[in-house]
This record gives sequence, structure tokens and C-alpha cells, in this order.
Amino acid sequence: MALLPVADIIYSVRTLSAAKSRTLLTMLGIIIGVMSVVAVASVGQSAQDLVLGEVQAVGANRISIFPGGSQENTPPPIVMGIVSTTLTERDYRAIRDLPHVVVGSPIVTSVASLTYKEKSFMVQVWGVGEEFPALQDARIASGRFFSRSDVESYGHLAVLGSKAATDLFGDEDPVNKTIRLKDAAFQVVGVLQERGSSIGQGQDSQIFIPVTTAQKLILGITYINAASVKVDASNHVTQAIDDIKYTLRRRHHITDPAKDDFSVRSADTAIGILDSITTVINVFLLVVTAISLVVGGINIMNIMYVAVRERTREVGLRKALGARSRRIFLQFLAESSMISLSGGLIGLALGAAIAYGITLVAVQYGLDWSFSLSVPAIAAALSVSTVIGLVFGVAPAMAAARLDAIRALRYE
Amino acid sequence: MPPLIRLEHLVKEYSDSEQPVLALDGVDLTIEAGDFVAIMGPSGCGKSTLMHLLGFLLSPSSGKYFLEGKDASSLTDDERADIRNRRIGFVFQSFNLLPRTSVLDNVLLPVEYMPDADRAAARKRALELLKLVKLSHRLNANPNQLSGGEQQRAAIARALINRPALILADEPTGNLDSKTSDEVMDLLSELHHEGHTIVMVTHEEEIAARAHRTIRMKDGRIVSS
Ligand SMILES: Nc1ncnc2c1ncn2[C@@H]1O[C@H](COP(=O)(O)OP(=O)(O)O)[C@@H](O)[C@H]1O
Ligand SMILES: [Mg+2]
Repeated sequence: MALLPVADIIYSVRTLSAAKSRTLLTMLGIIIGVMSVVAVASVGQSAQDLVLGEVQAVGANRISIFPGGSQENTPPPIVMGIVSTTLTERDYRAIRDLPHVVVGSPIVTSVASLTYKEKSFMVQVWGVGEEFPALQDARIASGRFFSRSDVESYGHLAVLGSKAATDLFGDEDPVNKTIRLKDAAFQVVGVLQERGSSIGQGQDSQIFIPVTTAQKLILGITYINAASVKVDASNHVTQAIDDIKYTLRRRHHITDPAKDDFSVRSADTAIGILDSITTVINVFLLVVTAISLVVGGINIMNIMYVAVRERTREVGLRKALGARSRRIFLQFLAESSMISLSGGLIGLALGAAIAYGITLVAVQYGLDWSFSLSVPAIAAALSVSTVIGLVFGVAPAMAAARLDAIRALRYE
Repeated sequence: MPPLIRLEHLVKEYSDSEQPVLALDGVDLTIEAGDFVAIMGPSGCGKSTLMHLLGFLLSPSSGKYFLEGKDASSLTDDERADIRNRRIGFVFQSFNLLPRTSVLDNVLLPVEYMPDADRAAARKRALELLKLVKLSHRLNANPNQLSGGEQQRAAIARALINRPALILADEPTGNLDSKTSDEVMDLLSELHHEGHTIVMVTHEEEIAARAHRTIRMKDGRIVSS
């Protein structure tokens, strides 16, 4: 006997299409389930690609060093708002002198009141080194960035982000104007080009001053909040990280790496963390939608039980004409799988349409969003829906196969 | 040569309900190949039960059933399904054609359950049988487009598709008016003359009169044959 008898399938198709709205209702759970699985999987993948893409764009070959020790895969303490004082500008200089390190900057961040003429407001002030534009791939729109000697001499110089410049000066040229930061006069020496926002930070509204000046004048501290460097090639990142750790341990007289008072992170570790977070979210969403698939399966099972009862005479007739129980079982099992697989196909189409619609919207909003519908996701959606039809079709099909031919023929 | 069917003291008790029912109480019966037998008797006397036993839809509680001399009293479900498929042709009172399925496909339905069937030959035979029952013009009609008489003729064609040794018809004219009853009886008579063995249950004397012999039953026993 063929595993899928053609005549049975044709009969099932006719029976199912004779009661279209009921068949659709039977499929509804599966349609919604597969639709959500496909949409969630696709959108989740696109979002993950987007976030990781941004991180990679910003962070290629970049290593960041933070004060305070931490585990490899947890954020450094500074992220939690814990202030550590164990990293200094001299530590940064030692790191900067390591082989493979091509550019870098120490970073301290603060918020200070800024005054120009009658205008006064709070701005983000970043104390950075002279290489900061090269580190961040930032371009100078006008004027210049401050130099190493400006940093060493505690220069009262400021470079404005593009938005900070227009907010403060409008159409005026800010270069050589004097502004007041925390009541000290600073000379504006340059303006940065607009950079757009990289993940979560409007970098265009910031004001940059020499790190030494920020430490002494604005914050009154001797440590730095972070240091960031780039290495010459991605295959040197691991070597550079080891060198940095070695250098800092020597400088901080640390012999046991478990007692490190600093944390070193590269884009790779950041990507690893982000990757695991987004994967967890995706898995969670998939589990939730998989539950709706099970509900869809139970729905199919119930309606197949009703169908078996309604078609009792048909089963009796088929048995009288020589159908073995196993054949009746396969007929109804094939029918529930067909319902489920068709529902899966409809759900797949709808889910893909939703994901595509979201792509169109995201692109409208200027996101670098790409539509992704992986072959494994499609295969999973379709095989899961077939399996659900099989699993939840077993009990009704067994009930059909067990029907007594005579009773079934007498059934009205 | 052994008779087509020999029943020896066949007993059927329905024991699954609260009160066991003795539907057949020791039936002895011989049916020769080519016979045309009518079974008569009051309602509930066990006619249908006897037909179901003859047609391998039921197993006897005790007694022996010999089909062509071979003991067929205790067979597995699958063995009985295969005998129904190859050796028996059923004609029901309520026709029992599959809905949404053409007359031709209905006639071919038993072939579906024959794994080694020659499909092309079966199709050719179905067309011949539909010619015999005068339905050649309705091959692709659905059952609900046919009259009762036409439906029963299609059902008879279906019963003949696997060249059965025995045709069982339980009140085949029970749902038909007298004119179409006559048509169906003409057809069964014709089949009898062609050599088919037919066992038929009926309530009407004039229908029974068209058979070769009549068996009368009462309370699960044969009272005259
Ligand atoms: N499946 C069954 N379970 C229990 N009793 C049954 C069953 N089928 C028939 N009977 C009983 O067996 C007796 C014979 O029934 P049946 O063979 O249908 O008679 P007839 O066809 O002559 O009217 C009746 O009393 C009927 O109620
Ligand atoms: Mg009866």
C-alpha cells in the first residue's frame, strides 16, 4: 500500500474544500502560530543583524579599558554606575605606547553648565585626548582639534559637536569665540562634522575639551572613566588585549588576574554579549509563539474528532468495501496533516508579509534594516506544522480506525 | 465440488450491550454457486445479522462458516477485510455512495483497497459495468445528482467491480418506489442469469418471488428453506 494513497488525498481535498470556512477555522490556530513564528524569527534576525552591524561598524579593531574588575562576559562596573578610580591618564599613555596600538584616547565624561552670551544650559562635556577624532572616525568641519601639547598644558580649548554648535551659535561661526564652562573661559577651536547617532548616543550635542582640563577643572579628579584604543588589524586584537592586561597588572602591581582592578573589552566581547542577549529574546519569543502552535494542534484534534463522528458512515462503507483499519488510520492522519501543512503555508506567507511590511517601514525610518527569511526558518515552520498535524491527528485517526464497520453503517 | 457457502449451527450473540441478544440461534445453511436466495422474516429476526456474518463484517460466536470448503469461522480483522474486498459485493438499502465523488470513482472505490490491482483494467471494467447498469451517460455525475434508482444501480456496479463470489443485498429496494424497484430487480435477475451468486433480504413477497429460492427466518432460526 502506498503511504499516501492518491484517491484518499483527493477525497480529503474535496471534503475540506466543500466546507471552506470550517476548514479555515480549523487551520486558524496553526495559521496564527506559524505566522507569528515566521514573523518573530524574521524580524528578530533582522534586528539582531542591525544591532550587531552597528556595533561592528563602530567597534572594529577597537579595545576599551575600564576601571574596576569584572567577569569576561558581564558589563564593567562603570556601566552599573559604580565609580572606580583605578585607571589614570598615565595608564592610558602606557597602553597607547604598546605595539599594534595605532590610535586612542582617554575619556572622562561629565555634565556642566555652558554659558555663551545670555544663553546658558547643561551640556555633556567629554574630556578626551588629541587623537579622539581619529579614534571615532570624526571629521573636523571647521577650525581644528586640540593637540597633544594643548592636552599636556591643560588648555582651555573646546571643540563642539555639530548640533552643539548650531544650538549655541546658530549661523555664527563658533571658531575663536569664547564660551564659559563651569565659569571658566574656553576658546572654541573647532567644530565636528555631523555624525548621526551611533547606538544610543547623540554624539553631535557633545562638547570636547582636553582630558587634563576636564579632570582638574570640571570634575576635580585624577582618574579617567575609560580609555579606548584601536589596533592595526583585527587579528592583533587578542594579542593587544593580552599586552594591555600585562601592562596594567605590572603598573598596578597585580600578580593574580582574579584581582584585576580594570576591565578590558573589545567589540568582539560586546558583540558576544549583545548576541547572547538578542538570542535569548528571540528564543523566548519563539517559545511563546510555539505555544500558540500547540493550541492550534489541539484545535485540529478537536475538529478532527467531530469530522470522524460526522463521517462514521463513510468509514463503515470503506471498511465494508475492504479497507483495513490501518488504511483508515492513514487516511485521517493524512487529512489532519494536510490541514496543518496548508495552515502552515498560509501562516508562512502571512508571516513573511508581516516581516516584509516591517522592513519597508524600518527602511522608511532610515534604518539599515534588511529583510531576512532564512531557509531553516521556513523549513522549521513547515515541518513543525506537519508534525503538529501528525501528532494531534493520531488520536482522531485511531478513533476512526477503531470504528466498528456495522455500527458505522447503521449510524445515522 | 464443495458448495460456495456452508453454515453449520452458526450462533451470534451480541454481548456488548447490557443485555446479551441472541440474534442467530444455530443456523444451518448451504448456498451453491449461482444461487439467488431471498431471505424473509419479521423485523429483528436476525436477517441482517446473517447477512453481516455471510459478508465477513461479523465473526460468529460459535458454529462453522465454510467458504468454498475452507473454514472461515475465525479470521483476523485484516483477513476479513481482504475477503470483503475480493470475494463479497455489498448492496445496501441506503446505497452508501461517497459524496463529492463521481459515479466512476465510486465504482472504483473497492479497487483502492486492493494493493496489487491493475488500475487500467479496473477502469475498463468499471466502464463496462456502468454500461451494464445503464449509467454510461452519468460517469462524472456526483451521487447527489442521481435518482435513487440510479444510485442503487451505481452501487450494484461497485459491488461487481472486484468480481465477487457472493453479492449480498440487504433490502436493496427498501428505499425505492415500485417502478425503480423493478429496474433494480431486473438488473439482479440479469446478474443471476449471468451466473452470479446473490443473497438478498426483502420484506416483499413479489420481490422475493424473483429469487431462485426463499429462506424464512424467525427468532434467529431458519424456519423454512
Ligand atoms: N450491534 C448489535 N448489538 C446488539 N444487538 C443487536 C445488534 N445488531 C442487532 N442487534 C439485535 O439483534 C437482533 C437481530 O437484529 P437484525 O439482525 O438487525 O434483525 P433484522 O435485520 O432481521 O431486522 C435484534 O434484536 C437486534 O436488536
Ligand atoms: Mg435488517
